[in-house]
Amino acid sequence: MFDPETKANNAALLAALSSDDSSIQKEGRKTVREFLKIRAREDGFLREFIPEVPVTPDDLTPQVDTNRPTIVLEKEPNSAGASSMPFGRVPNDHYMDTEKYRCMFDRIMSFRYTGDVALLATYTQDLRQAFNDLMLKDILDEEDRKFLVAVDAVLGAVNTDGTTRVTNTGAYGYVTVGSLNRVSLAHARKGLGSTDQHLPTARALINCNTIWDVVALGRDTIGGDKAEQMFLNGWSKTDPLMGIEPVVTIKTDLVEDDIMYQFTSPDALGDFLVYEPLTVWTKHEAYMFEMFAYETISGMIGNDAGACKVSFTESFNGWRPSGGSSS
Amino acid sequence: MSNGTITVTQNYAHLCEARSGSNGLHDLMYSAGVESGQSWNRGALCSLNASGNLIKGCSDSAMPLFAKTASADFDVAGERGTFVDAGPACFVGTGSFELYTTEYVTTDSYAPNTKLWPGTGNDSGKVQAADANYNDGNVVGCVSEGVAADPSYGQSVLYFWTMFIPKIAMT
Repeated sequence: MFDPETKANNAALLAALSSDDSSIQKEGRKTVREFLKIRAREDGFLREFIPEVPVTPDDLTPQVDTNRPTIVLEKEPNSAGASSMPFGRVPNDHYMDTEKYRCMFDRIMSFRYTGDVALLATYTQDLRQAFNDLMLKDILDEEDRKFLVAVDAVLGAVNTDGTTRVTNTGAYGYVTVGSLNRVSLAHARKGLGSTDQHLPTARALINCNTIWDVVALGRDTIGGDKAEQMFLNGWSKTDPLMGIEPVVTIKTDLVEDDIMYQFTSPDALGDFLVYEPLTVWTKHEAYMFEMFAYETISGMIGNDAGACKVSFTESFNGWRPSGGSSS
Repeated sequence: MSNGTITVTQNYAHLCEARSGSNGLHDLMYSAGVESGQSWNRGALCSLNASGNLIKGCSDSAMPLFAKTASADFDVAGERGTFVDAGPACFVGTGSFELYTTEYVTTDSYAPNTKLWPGTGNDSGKVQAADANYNDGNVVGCVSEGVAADPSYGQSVLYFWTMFIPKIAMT
């Protein structure tokens, strides 16, 4: 009934968290922290598209009118172009400049979990796993949610003219492409290339339900023995899809069915800065304990043309407003 | 030729902080989204609308929420593409705080024990001195020390204890 290792781990962790010796308490926290830190690299999909960059106070750009941590970054400059000139003609002037943007920070926190230490001894499940699942999952879910909220805000509404994204890139950020098949997948792949910036697609994000529509594609659509392989084994994580490796997520609340996001390489997409890495705070007073996890991050989708989104519904809208090439 | 014409707003120009009653990580605080079209400075008196979003000002029966965070602070609002979308943090009016705020109607008098009402009209988001019949309005505070110069930077702040006594509805 009781797994000996689990019981020993629980007892060790309880002893550490209950200790009056702050150094032992610190070890207890460190144990939980180390465990959580390892899982952070594997869970969540934000870091698949934008790897985290640790920053320190030295990296912050002080602002006059706020004490909020901020980092000012620069975008790639754009040139004015070149033109043919006759002899004797001197060049036109254009002032050198480039666009800057600010990365703002906020803090992600789990709920604070409290309890009576005596009641922990009655648990039969692995407490470390419970803490991990409770706090880390919530924090990584929140990272992913914030990421997609920012992406959706940049991409704009589906099939909609006049958005900032259209103005900045010449192409829609979010279109319908028709039900999922080989043709609609090909239409989807035109997304980033249809912008004025012509960035290549590096990764895609799709949920665990929609991927089965890919698996359902027959031999006449996919070609070769891949159809048989997928019928027998399902989708493999390492299988490319139209030249890119999709990230398949179980978070269907964040990535809805029939939706696929596509992203360019991180250096042209945005930033994910970590000022305070994932930290577990604990407090023990007499028989009561409390703990929560937090991190301080900044994320920025700095390039409108770095992402696009398709819905495998309706029909193909085209990536560019009427008058531009789209299909 | 103009010189020295740029006005810089310092971080402490608008604020609301606890002088007493803060319990560190256990303060009674609340966060919610900013209702579309709403904006306020740090220290403003806010409340929740029917949608559960924060708005500047406080009605006759709404819980007073004193904004620690401005609607445009960098940790609640950011440039296009930002991940920042946290709701502003507010001290809840029923918390046992003595607060000091820059957001008060400066033309009123604030003797100790003066009750505070929400400001209205152009003073929405500020607190003002209540009438003698203070139950005719939503009591959101009680003056402690009153108006004084902030000991650090000298801006005028109002010291008060938080309270919540909704307006008494007479039928």
